Amino acid sequence: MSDEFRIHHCANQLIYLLKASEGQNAAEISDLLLKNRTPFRTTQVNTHTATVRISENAAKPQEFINKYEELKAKNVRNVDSLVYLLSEIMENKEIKDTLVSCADDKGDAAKLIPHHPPGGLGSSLVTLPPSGSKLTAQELIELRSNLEKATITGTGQLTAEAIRKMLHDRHQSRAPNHVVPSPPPWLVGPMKRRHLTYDFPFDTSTQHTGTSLGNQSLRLQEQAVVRDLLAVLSGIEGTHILVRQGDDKYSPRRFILEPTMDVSLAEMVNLVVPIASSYSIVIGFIEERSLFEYGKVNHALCSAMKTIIREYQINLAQLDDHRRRGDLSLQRLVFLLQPVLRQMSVLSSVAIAVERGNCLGGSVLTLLHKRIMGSVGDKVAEQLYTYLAQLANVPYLEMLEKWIYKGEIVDYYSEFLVEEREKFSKDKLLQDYNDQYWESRYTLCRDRIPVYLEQMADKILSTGKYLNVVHECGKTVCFPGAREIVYSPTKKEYVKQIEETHSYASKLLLDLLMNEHNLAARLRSVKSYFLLNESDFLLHFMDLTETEMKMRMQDIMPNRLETLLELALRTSTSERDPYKDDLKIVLLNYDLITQLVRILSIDTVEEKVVKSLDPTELSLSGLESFALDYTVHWPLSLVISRKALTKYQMLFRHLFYCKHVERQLRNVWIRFKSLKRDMAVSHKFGKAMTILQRMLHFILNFEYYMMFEVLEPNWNTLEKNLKTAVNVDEVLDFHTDFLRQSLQDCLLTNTDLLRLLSKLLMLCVAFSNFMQSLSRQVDGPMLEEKLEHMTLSGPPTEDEKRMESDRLLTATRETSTHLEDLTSSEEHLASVSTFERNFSTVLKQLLQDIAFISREQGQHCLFNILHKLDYNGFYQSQIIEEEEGTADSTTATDLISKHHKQPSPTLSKQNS
Amino acid sequence: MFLQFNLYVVLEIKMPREIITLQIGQCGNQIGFEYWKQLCQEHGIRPDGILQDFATDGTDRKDVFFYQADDDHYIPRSVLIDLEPRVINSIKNSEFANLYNPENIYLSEHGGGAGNNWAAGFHSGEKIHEELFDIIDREADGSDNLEGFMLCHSTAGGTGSGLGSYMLEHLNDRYPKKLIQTYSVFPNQDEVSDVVVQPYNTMLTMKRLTLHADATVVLDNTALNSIATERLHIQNPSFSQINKMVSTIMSASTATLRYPGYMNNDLIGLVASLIPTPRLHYLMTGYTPLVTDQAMASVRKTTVLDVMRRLLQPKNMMVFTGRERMNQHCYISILNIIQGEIDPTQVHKSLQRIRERKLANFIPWGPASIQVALSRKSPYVSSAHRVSGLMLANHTSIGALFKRAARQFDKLRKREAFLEQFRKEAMFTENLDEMDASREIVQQLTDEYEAAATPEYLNWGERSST
Repeated sequence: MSDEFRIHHCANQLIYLLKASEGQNAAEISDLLLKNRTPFRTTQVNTHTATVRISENAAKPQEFINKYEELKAKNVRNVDSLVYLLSEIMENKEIKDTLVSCADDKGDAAKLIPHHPPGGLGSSLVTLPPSGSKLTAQELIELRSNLEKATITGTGQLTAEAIRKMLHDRHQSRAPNHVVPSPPPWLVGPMKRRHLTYDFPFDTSTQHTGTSLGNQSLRLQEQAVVRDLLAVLSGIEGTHILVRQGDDKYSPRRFILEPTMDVSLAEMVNLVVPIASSYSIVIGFIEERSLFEYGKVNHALCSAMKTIIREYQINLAQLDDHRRRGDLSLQRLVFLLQPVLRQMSVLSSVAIAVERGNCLGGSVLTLLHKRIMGSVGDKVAEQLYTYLAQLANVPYLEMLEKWIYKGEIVDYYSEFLVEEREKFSKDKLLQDYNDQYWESRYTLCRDRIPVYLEQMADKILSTGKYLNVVHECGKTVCFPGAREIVYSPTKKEYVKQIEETHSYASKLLLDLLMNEHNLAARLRSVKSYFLLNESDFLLHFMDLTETEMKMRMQDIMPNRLETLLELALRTSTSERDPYKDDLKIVLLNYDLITQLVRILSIDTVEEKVVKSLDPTELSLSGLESFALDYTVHWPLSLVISRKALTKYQMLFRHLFYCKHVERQLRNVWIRFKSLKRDMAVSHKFGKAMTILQRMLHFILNFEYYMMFEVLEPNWNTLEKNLKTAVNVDEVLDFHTDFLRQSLQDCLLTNTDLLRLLSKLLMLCVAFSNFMQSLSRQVDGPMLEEKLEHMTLSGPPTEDEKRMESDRLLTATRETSTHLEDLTSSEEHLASVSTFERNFSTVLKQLLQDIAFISREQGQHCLFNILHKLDYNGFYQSQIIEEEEGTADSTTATDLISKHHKQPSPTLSKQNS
Repeated sequence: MFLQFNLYVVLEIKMPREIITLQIGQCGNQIGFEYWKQLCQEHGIRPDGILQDFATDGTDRKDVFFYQADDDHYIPRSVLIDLEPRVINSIKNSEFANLYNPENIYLSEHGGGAGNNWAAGFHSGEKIHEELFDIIDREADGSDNLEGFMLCHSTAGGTGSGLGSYMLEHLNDRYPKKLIQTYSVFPNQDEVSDVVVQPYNTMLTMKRLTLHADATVVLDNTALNSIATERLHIQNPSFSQINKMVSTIMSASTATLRYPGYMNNDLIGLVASLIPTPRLHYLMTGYTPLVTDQAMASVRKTTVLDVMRRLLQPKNMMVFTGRERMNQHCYISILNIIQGEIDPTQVHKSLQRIRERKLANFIPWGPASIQVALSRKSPYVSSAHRVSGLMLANHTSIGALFKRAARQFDKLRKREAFLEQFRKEAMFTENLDEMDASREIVQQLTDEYEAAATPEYLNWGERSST
């Protein structure tokens, strides 16, 4: 889902930024994108050719390549894909021209033209079409979108400092509680104790002092130089060799030899000083990175480096010992230091890379892993990298163990690949409609995943999540096969371990939900109430609450409804349900249509119109505001969350309303059943009875369709799937699918169909009110309460006005009690035919729309409605007739277009 | 008096949508007896009303047709009425004797019966009115939300037709908002009946059924017999075998009330959609697969399509309508109650197939379809068949039955035969207008059914009334 939203958003932005006016809307484009998405596979070849291609075309090729290298060094993800995208754009003249013209419009042409250094950062989903020979229109759109993503996410043309600052800020904001304690003033103050470090103090003011070397013999010179050199190697400036910092802390140090030094000695010194330079960089790195805020992985890396430095220092001490005994020549020193030279340069390169990329946590590990992979054949380097990687991995893998074995996160420095967001708490699952506990409480942080765990990341996330849930249920979690996870660049032992734990955790949680908490039985119980699977309780409930349902929402006592519900439950088959006490009632202050239209209009042009409608419906009746609710406890609330319950509620209200309409029509049937005693009167009502029959036929078949052709098969699929589900994510998916499919097939997701449908239902209710009022006059007006008025919110439509006037007409005739007069009157006949005309027109419109939609969009389930509602082809033949006969069709189309022009979402405002 | 007091004090439990069964006359009590036997079996209730141990966890609804006494034993909401003791005594001597509430059994004091005379039955109703309605009112008061009455009777004899007619008229007056559904057994018109006045009785009853019943399930003895001989291969079908068939139909037609599901959980829901105009309320039934105790051997494969297809075959219909049926007649509405473990998608496919093959003709003047109610099966009654189906259909060819009855009536009426017994009763002492009025009503009904098969039906009423 979140992908979809992101892509939709990007497409929106793209359209806005490119000022595209080709008539496509964001939804279409994002659909296209979703469908055509192919994962981006990096192969060295195509990125390489891509860089070459760009640099060939670029105005300043070197600058581009430098930037590219820099970004690579920083371990920025998606650089490759972005570069590839850019090169594709270079190839395609059309897009390039469009972009250039666009960019010109916006006045910052440079930003979009491909020779500018790319700065993609953090956009984790750049996807690309296969490099086809010719780009289709789709791909063009796709490319634009991708490019836009890149430009949006990479807006700041980042310098290393900016990144560092950003990282730092992010770090700060993420862990606001960790206030880095400020070091004591004597350490950092203006008089910083530079000599407290193992590094050079880098005093630029030092001079070559003492006696000039040039005056001394070569032997003495050598002795002095060896002594000096050993000092320099351990971070102390010599008398003849001065040290200066390079451009910054991580560039090679400069060494100033005394000019008078013998040339041959100076040459040899120059062979050795790179060690000192590396040493200085490494020491600087260790001292900086050991600080609090750099996280455990860095600490571990530093400590690994320190061990090597210690060895190095011992080595130096031994050399010094030799020197004191006088058997260390400069030549020998150079010879003995050869292996050290390699080691130190490896160390310093790691230090530089980590520093340049400002790597923390996972990315440090990624870097080390990549180094190991890249150093095949170089045994020293490989061993060294492996050593560093193994040690640096220890704290990280400890976190991993905690997570996948216990479902806990102990991550003070935000290094771990899973991030916990505490603001999504499980209690909110029950209250918050938009709560995304399951999706958002624990999320993967893509740039913190060590590259060797990349494939496993999703499994790691879900393993911990599952265990965490079990943990939250108050159970101790103990994975029996828990073993220490050890990093190894070649052996993939940890993969197996993670797989094992994952299947264990999935099974554990699934067992917990399915067996201990009886998810299946729960869902069945929810189904039997919300989807009216055993609707006899509803029947009783409707009998019991007849008066309440007509009352205004404010006047209803929820307690009374609650009691009546309980009574209804107790006297129905639902009494056997052990969960029946969890069923509650709620009175919502919006009716179903408003709710649905509001949900459906999100992200469409109508959104504002709908939002601007008054949210408080004062005239809502009990019927409209009534809904069931269900108490769900953790951990079942994971599956039956507020979101799912709301969907159930919508289905329930829909079915409930249909049942109500059915009930109303049946009441009319009962009231008029005595007609049969009088032939003449009964014939007068012939037409009205036929309409009643048509309405009943419609509502019954529509109910049947929803219940037996949508809900029941979907439910069966769900039950079957639940049995095969191996983890909770699948369960969630199946459940969500079930609800989505059911809502869709019950026509609750298509605004146009929904409006027609609610119009039909409204007509049915209006008709039954009309008939009831007639029969009341037959029975005598004193029997029944006074005529109720429909509550019409929103502008009354033509039909509503007409019906209103019909009803007023009939109402004013309270004096005339004689049925004969009433029914033979023109008004009666006229209003009956009005009902008939409206009903068939809307119904035919609905049928045609459904036919159209099911043809166009391939929703075959919808097609079943046609067969149900028009089994004997009655309406179909009428439609055909109308199409043939021109005289009739004009009026019909008039009516149809009229219905289409009514965007009032509150069509169903109707009192029973 | 046989009324025994202090026996059963009915518990005041709220039990909604109850249906009270009235069994009137010899035939009515016989099919009623079979019906309750069947219900007890399906709900796991022992003949003495105590719930079987295996049935205590059932998810069925017994309270529509039963209520519980203080000792928790189930009592049928049934009133047994007869003017002669034979059948009721045999019930009282059966193992089901203690099932019924003895207060609900009314047996005429004289025990003479109605002598197969409609008029006698009708007039004895006037005499025992108070007592009968005491029982019915008590039952109605004991229910929380009475949905209606189910009346079992035959139209041929004296008690079922005469007293039944009386009850119809008065029930309708007393409970105008309640449904009255009848299961009416029409006499076998193939063989010569021992009741010579049968055509008169039928005609007079038909008038009441037309005007006062809300739905009449027609059980045609002609068809029942031929189904028993031809389909079940029983040479001389006995009453109990025929009654068994009837009770199967009755229990299947109430299955959705007793095993609640998504839809059709009340009587009105079943009936309202079947009956478009109040008078056209005569329903045919069909049931498949039919089995008797003897014919268990022939187990067929039952799929939903098989069942639905067979239900549409005229030979499975429990009303004999002759050859007329296939020609220009058509279905006004169909409700198939399918029982068993069914995948709804199969139903959908079957409906499609029937639609494609045009296996059913429907009225041209309105939307009509085969409605399907899916219901569970009783877990306590083993059946060799996976799926069984009951069809309740409103078909215009039922007019043939009325025509046939009218023909026989006319034959007798022309000759003024056998009218002496009728003239003895108050209604007919002065004239025989009532007979002719009934004939007129039946004629109207037949005409209306004829008209319902044509597209002009919508305007038929207006034309004929002007």
